[in-house]
Amino acid sequence: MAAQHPALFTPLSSARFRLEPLGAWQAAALTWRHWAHDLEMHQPMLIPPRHLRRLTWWRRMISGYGRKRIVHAITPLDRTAPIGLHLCVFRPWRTANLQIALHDRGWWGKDVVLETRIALIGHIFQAGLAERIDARVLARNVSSIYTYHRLGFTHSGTAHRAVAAPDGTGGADVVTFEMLRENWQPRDAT
Amino acid sequence: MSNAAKLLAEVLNLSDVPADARLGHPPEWDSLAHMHLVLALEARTGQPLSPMQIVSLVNLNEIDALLRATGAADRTP
Repeated sequence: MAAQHPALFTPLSSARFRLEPLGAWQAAALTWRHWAHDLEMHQPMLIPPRHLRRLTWWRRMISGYGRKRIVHAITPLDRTAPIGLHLCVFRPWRTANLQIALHDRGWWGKDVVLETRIALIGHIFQAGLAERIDARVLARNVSSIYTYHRLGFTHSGTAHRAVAAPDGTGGADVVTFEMLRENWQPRDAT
Repeated sequence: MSNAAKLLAEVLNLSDVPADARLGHPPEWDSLAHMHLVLALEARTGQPLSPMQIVSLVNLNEIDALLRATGAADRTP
């Protein structure tokens, strides 16, 4: 994607949530505040479990923002403060990678990921933003694996000892899932 | 009821599970229950599940196949 795609900045909604695309600086600031120092947030995103440097984080988030990546704030319809953030990273060839973390732990286990992903994935394919969506998940991240199955993703591979284990005990296995545009079927979260 | 169905019913806190049970059906089979299912299977088989085994757990038949493959199908919980 050479230039910003207007469809990337389309606000979305689901039955319970608004998904609001953030500007570059806002995305960097909010992800820095909610993700960078919360090591528990690093695990689902396969970020090494250590504190990150502010400059590195901001540079990574802002570089190519709106072309290579976009962050959506996830906010319940009846609230103003976001409970989580969703990051889409686009890379050749027409592939999107999805990462999500809910910093409001009161919403864990309530199918927020499933519901918001359905809205986002549908939009990505409908707007022609990607032909393929993939995800890498720690093999012990059972709830994420559950969600990808529910979304209809296909298990496309397993990489053994591919990343540092969150508990620092060596390497951890990673499983990969993928969804091709033609295989996506709109669904509801129930 | 098969051992797989008994195990799943126990995890989901139900008296019975449908023969076509799969992720999200019945609705009690949510992400948290899925985590409990993996832990229950590891307790039953006596070993951590491999990535392939975890990824394969999408319906009752696959749970049954895993219990059989690990020799835990006839083991008393």
